[in-house]
Amino acid sequence: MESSLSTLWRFRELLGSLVSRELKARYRGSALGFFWSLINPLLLLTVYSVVFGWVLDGGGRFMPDGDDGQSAVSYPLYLVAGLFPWVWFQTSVLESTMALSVNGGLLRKAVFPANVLPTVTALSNFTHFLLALPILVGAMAIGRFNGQSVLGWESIFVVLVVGLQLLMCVGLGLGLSALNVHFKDVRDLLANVLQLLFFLAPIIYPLWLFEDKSGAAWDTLRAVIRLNPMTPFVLGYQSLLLEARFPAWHVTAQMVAYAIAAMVIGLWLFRRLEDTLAEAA
Amino acid sequence: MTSATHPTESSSSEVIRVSNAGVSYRRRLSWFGNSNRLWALSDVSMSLHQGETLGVIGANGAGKSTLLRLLAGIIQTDRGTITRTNITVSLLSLQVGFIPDLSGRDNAILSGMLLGLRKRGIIARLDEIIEFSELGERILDPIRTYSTGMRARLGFAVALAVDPDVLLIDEVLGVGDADFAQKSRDAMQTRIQSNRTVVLVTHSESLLRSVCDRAILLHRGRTIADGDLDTVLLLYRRSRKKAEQENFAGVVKPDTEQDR
Repeated sequence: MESSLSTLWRFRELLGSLVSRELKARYRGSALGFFWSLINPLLLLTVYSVVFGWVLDGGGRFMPDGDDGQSAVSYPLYLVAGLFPWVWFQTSVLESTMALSVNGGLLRKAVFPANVLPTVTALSNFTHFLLALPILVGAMAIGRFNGQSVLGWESIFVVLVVGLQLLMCVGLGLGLSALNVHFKDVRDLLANVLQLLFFLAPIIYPLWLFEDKSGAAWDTLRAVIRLNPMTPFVLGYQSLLLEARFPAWHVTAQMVAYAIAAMVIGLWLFRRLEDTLAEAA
Repeated sequence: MTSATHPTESSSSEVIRVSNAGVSYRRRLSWFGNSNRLWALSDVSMSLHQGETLGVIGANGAGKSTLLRLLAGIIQTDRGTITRTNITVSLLSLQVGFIPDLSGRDNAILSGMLLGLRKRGIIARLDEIIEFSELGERILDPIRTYSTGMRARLGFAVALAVDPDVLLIDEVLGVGDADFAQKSRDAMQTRIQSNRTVVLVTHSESLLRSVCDRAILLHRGRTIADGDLDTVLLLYRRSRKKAEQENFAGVVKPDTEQDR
């Protein structure tokens, strides 16, 4: 495991160049270029705010945590805190999964460690997330200006959540990309699983929405939502950004556990399948 | 055998040694056991010395390309060993990692890095690449606007610039239109004939005769001959004749080049 990480470090120059290749290639030939990184999430945010805000909550205002009436946050703000990290997670995992399969030619010709490829995809998606961050921060700032109690000095710790999420994305990307070389079903399966996970995370609805519901079905649903790999991260972003509060210790522990587990399993799986990649890809 | 026991001391000029190496492909992935393997190389032994040009001869599917990829370090042995001194080995590959939307310059830098150069190294050789590829100002245009010939020229110029200690060549010598093909063939021949270590896979007997000192013969993944070119070529022709007779006996194999 250490040696996999150290090869990545040794090839950091190539890693950097490949990331910038991916970013450049994405925007070449489009008139608005890198602004799509800002426009895309903004459009997504607008659509989701209108649709879910209107369907879920006619007034467009609700309290994400309890009903003390002081921490009222408008729905778009609530949405943005979870939606942006989710979009990063989803595209990163999906694209990393394909990273080896679509670069078979490179693997067969060039000499570099194969784990560079899914890592490059994860890093370039991370860069996309960073580029879209001004929208997230801007939205929060506007909310605060309008008297909502968002942001505080605690919010700076969001960088730790971002770091943990990056680890999880890289780990998942490594494992899934290696699996996808041998089992092409992984990608299709994953697309559906991700769709499901999106609705099973407290992104478009707050957890307290069905806190008072009882019964075996609701218990199961709550348990599934709790286990969702993105749930602790979404909760982390929401409490740090929207409430300027540290997430509960078990949420933090879950983030750390998921990030480490994804890296360990991802690196192990990659090594397990590594020697056959240049042949199978 | 006396020299084989101390490879590093006995022959200081030896740069790569392969001993009884085997490389297999799994037909289907199985998590346990080694069943259902296809041995592309089953028993290959050879050594390569500083400054020599080694020819690799063999019928299609004998494992020549696999051997080059093994020497280049792209794939690993499944049995046997490969040892090399602290040298750079690289397979002459054209247009590796080219992306249509990026400029010729960006593609050249990236391609060079993928082939094993440091970024600084490839940037230092950019002028050389631009001059050899005859692209001039067009180097700044995205390569999707290039003709096939221009792309081939850039690909060759980059591959030429990589310049490793040991150069592995798989059939490609001349690319592009007639003029550039001659120019690239000349550049390659100059490089081969200089005091450089080269492993060359080719079916062209005249090329082998003009550049190779020594050759090895591969047959179904084994080295069955290793020695001076004439002897090995003679053995090769004999084995071809035998194979042809077998083919007439009913085992007709399509003569297609295996890519892996």
